[in-house]
Amino acid sequence: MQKTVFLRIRTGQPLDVYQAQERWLPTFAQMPDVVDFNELYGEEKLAAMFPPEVLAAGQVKGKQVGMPWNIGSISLVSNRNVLESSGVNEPPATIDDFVVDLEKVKEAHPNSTPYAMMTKGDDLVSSDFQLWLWAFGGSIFDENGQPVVNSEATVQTLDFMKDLVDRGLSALDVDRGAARRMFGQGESAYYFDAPVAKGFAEDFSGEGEAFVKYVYPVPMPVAEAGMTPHSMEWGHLLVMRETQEGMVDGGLSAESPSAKLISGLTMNDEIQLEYFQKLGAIPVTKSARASDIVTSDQYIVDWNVSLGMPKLNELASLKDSANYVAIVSEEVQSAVLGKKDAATAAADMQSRIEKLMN
Amino acid sequence: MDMATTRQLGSTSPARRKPGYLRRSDRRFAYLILAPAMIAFLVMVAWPFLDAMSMALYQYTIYDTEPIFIGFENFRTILTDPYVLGSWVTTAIFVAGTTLLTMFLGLSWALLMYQDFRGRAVFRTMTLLPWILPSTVSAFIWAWMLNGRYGIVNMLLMDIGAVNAPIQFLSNDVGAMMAVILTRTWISIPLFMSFFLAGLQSMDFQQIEAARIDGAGNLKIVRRLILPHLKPVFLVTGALGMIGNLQQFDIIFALTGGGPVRATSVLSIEVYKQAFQNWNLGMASAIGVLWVFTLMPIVIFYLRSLFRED
Repeated sequence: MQKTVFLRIRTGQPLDVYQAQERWLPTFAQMPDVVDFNELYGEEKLAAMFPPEVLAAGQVKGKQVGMPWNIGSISLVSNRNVLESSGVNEPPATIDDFVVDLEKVKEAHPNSTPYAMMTKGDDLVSSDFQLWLWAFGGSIFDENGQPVVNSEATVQTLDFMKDLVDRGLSALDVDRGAARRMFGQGESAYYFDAPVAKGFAEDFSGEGEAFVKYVYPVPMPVAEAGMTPHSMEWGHLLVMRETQEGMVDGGLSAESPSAKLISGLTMNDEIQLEYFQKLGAIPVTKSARASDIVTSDQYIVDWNVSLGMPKLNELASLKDSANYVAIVSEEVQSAVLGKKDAATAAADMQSRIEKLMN
Repeated sequence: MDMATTRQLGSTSPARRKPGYLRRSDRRFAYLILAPAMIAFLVMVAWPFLDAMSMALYQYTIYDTEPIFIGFENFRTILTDPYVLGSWVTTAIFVAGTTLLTMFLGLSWALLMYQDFRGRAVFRTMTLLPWILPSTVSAFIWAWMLNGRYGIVNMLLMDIGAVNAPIQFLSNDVGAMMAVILTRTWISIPLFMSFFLAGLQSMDFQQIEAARIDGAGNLKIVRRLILPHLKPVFLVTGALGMIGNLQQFDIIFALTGGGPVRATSVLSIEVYKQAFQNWNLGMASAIGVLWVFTLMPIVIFYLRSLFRED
């Protein structure tokens, strides 16, 4: 998606509106001709229509460069059918509980991959790693933006991830697409996904809506009881460029075709609720979120309970984000594959990040 | 001026003209018919190549609206980055493994197809199948065959009791490299076989018959007669194989994406990652330039062998 956008802009092909994942927004925000939606639609109007945390997902350096289209969080999703048939009836509170659950699933279903951890694809590997790193109480950067990833929490996280693979509780060569299939087909009990997990589970299970009752989001297990569970903020935004299609009488206008396309997709409750009903994507407007269709949906109620304190992907907002993602992913995979021990991988991750920052 | 005079003025005596040189009018005509190809070459090959060469001297990332001249900084970064330098080693392993294996199997298959047996024509035609298939299709076929959960290779290995648990071929260094070498070899065998078969068919069969009458066995005939006869074919296929494998991208990208942890990240993958994942066009161009210099000796060797034959 971002490749197409980048190439079209660089080669001067027509492009007025494009979709961007939230982690690409800081990169695209630095490109020329990006429209500030506060100026286009009016800051007050946007504040009245969207919750502040939803608008924040599209803000870079005080500008509203992305219009929220589909905002949610990456959270741990469980397959109740698999868990209950393995004798697990309560969501895990701690990481130890989580591992016990996985062991029970493996025992009951020897050919299963109890937790479909992301082990393929740089973005996915680094995303799962961060969620577990936060659960162990660590982080990649401190509050001043300095790397602190060479820590005991990182070593614990890497050892934990490697142990899961070594014991067959997770598998290599798994990406989000594979995880969704495995989850829907009852091969896995847990994996991380956005609220759209429900839609994929319906499709891959072959049972349609009847399968929804088994899809249950659970709070992130933590290293020790009492720690705050974190989910990861995630979303897709719409970005607009200053082109003729965005103008009326020579000036940017909310009545232009580009602006109307965006408002039609993001501010129209009917469209937003249709996405929700078909895919499970949580609407972005206040009014759509308050509708009966959403508030009476038990899946969404459970989802919101499961979020804990959502955090931003630590690598998303960095300049040269792809380089950082590649470094983290390579070091995680090195540890998981046993090419390096966890301590060396943590130290290398830190030194490579420091080198890139300088 | 009549035709005869024109011919006389326009011509140079063969004795005075340097050998191999054309008359002026012939030369003009030669340039005329060469012009479309030359223009296409300049626009499609030379200009983009020179543009990429110059781009290597610039910092040009997604954040730069215009390229910034930084001299040889990109080259310095590459030559001090062990992770990027490792791509040369990976490339060397891939090229050597694939070229040698393809030559060995291509020759073996050509020797088989050289024999006279019923259904030979059908076999020869079927042999071309991997070559006809789009390479990404072949890559995905092999990816599914080698898949750690559903792959037929693992199923067969487990059925015969060779392994207790599925092997994650594409998720470990050795398995992933073997997979890309095997897939590329499978695709290249038909081409190599065709070269060797053409070479074999140019052999004087009576020589082989005579050697047999003198008591030579199959191995001796291959070693003493066939291999020396095929020496020029070995040189050409070796050079072409190395050039093709140095340029290889699609199969590796479709099978492993360069992973796990750069285990199959050859130069072409590294260029792609720099250009379209890290958005660093200057760095991608610099790697591309070094990649061309890596290819150059083999290309020169190949062209020299061709011209020497001429």
